[in-house]
Amino acid sequence: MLGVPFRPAVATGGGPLQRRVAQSAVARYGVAVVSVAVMVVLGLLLRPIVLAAGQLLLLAVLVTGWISGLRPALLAWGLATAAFAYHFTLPLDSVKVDPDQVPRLMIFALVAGFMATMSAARRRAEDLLRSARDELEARVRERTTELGESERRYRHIFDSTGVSIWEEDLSRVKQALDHLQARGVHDVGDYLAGHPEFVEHVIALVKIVDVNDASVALFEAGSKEELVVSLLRIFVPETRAAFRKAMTSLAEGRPFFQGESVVQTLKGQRLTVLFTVTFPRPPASFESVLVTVTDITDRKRAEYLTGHVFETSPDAVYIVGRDYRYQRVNAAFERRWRLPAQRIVGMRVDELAGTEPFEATYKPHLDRCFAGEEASFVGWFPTPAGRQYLAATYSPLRPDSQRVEAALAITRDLTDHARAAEALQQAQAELAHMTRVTTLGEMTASIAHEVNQPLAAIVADANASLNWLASATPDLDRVREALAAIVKDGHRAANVIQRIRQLVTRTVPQKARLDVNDVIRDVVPLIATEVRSHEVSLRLDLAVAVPPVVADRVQLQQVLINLVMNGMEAMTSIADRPRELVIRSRPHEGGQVLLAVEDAGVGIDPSSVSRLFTAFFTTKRDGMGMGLSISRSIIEAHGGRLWATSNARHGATFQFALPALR
Amino acid sequence: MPLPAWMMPLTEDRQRPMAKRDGRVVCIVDDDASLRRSLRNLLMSLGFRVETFASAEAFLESVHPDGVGCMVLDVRMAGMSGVDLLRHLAATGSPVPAIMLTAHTDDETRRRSLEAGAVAFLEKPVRSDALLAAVRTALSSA
Repeated sequence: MLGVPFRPAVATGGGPLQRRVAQSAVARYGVAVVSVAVMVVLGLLLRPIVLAAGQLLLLAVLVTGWISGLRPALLAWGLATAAFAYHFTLPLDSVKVDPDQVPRLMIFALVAGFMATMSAARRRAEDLLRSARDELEARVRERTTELGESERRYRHIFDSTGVSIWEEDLSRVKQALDHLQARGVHDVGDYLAGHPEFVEHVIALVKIVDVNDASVALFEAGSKEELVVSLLRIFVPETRAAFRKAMTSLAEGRPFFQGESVVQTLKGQRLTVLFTVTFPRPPASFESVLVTVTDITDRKRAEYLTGHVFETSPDAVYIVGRDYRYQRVNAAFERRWRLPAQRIVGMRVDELAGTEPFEATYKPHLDRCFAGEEASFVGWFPTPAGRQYLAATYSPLRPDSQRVEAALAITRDLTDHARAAEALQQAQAELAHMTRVTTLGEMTASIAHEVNQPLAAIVADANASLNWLASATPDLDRVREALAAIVKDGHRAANVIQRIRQLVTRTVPQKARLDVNDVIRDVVPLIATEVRSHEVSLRLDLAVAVPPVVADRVQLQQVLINLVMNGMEAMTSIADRPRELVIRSRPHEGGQVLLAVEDAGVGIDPSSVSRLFTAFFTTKRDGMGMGLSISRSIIEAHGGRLWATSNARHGATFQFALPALR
Repeated sequence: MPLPAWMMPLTEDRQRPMAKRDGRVVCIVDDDASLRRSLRNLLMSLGFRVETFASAEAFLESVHPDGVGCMVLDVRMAGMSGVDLLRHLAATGSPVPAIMLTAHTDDETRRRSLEAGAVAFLEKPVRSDALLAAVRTALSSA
């Protein structure tokens, strides 16, 4: 049946003649009339030879039933019976029928009627059969088309997919494993591990049916044929372990195997791959088993790198979820908190790091990170290893969605740096203090004079007042004036002493908002006597409005005193021009404030300009050579710059610029 | 607690003011305004006629029709120093008896001052009786 060529299905069925007749009632009944007429003519022609020729009319009924069905057959039966009675029953060609001829006529009528119904029934059965056959044929055809389409789709997927797919015949492998189990081996995995020669045998039993283009490309083969020769060409020792596991899965009747392994290309390049094998369900055949091979070399490499960096980083790296609980921590983090990772993971940050630092620092920064920002901070934090100075950065982690799922934290322990910086700062402050004391020591005579002057005035005024009060008519106005002057001079002396005490006692720098003009005015009384004794004229050239700076007042005074003392000393030998010293303040480029001390001295010796600011460099007989070096450190610690230039005519200008407060 | 002797007023001199016996002027040359004013007060309270000058140069430029009785001079001043002024006056043939004032005594300055013709060498703060005695000596030596 399946071999019959396809014809379009028609509900009525039948052969070509029948189909044509079936199309109209006239034709169907016409067949009855025509066939009876033909048989009448044929019977009449044969009647002179044999009267039984009338039996040919049965043929007309038979043919009509076969071609046109039951009703036309009944018509043919009627016509044939009438024609038989008329032409072939004695008396011939008469409507009359001899009584002895009646049984003959009745037999004819009965036989004709039987033939009509039989023929029509047969005809109907044949029709039904044919229609059933046609329907089946159509369905088979349809199914075949579908299968063809499916096959085409499958081939297309097989060939064009980017994943390497291997079609393998594992039926002999399955047999070998079945045989193994039949011999009583229950743990196939164990057996395979202990029998490498059997594994090699099983590998050889794998028949590679086909590979797709992606496989050819992945395994650097020239053609499919080159690749399907043997699995051994792509196997390396590590591949055998994965193969054993796959075979164990197969033996244990699992539907699926997935595993990572290493293979090599035909050119010897090692690849890390992910295998998946989908096994058929018995009793299906193992002749066509699909194995996919996904190249995960780059992914593994990236994973390895990430993991390696994570684990070996000297910085503590950890991941905190939105519930503030540790999700993952690295070895450096374990070391910092002296707890194993499995204990830390799941803890809340406050449980480990303490409630107070958590609320004050960790939580606000984590919240910012969860909101999508990168957050950084530095500070001293308590840890089991003592207080540590930590610099932390929180980066938002969004593994799948837009929503930040966790924070990646990297914290670096800067305790040693911070301690060193603190120590350096402390040392610098102490050195600065020491040089201040030294400078003041050198200025003792001047400072004593500076205090002594108001004291001398006070004593003279007080004596004068006593004298006036002792007279018969005391001049109280004069006494009052003198007392007011005493108060003023008392403050003047106290002021000088207070400034000196500031310079001498404080060592810890305290930065505050300052006007450099105030700093200059503070220094002037301290240096006034030195200025006089050096026979120098001091001129202040202060800008009316300079932006404020943030600095330590005492240290700026120290720098200024240093520069002034240097300037005056540079002019000691000058006799041919005025010994003028100018202290100048100016707003400076780049949002800075400039403070300059300009002298008319001997200027800077070009050979010593590079060493000018180095410690212990001095041109003075009794100098320590610390002044300019310390001054530069102080200014740099304030984020500023100290430098010297030669003046156009005489002397030099030492100046520093500090960032202005915005 | 009794005041040190140098702070005590000179009761004897209040009863015998100098100005009544001597009309010559005492000139104070000091570049410190406070000191100039207070010394002037002290000498005036003792009955002297006083004139003050902020520098040696200012003194040299001034005119003294009644003549100068004596000078109270600060040793260290901006510009011409007290010692320089004394030398200058001696060199120009018009020496004036002078009392030198200094913040702290150093032997070199004292020696040079006395060489230049100073009558007395006093340390600041100056004792009232010492100043009075020195001014009297200076005036009498003129």
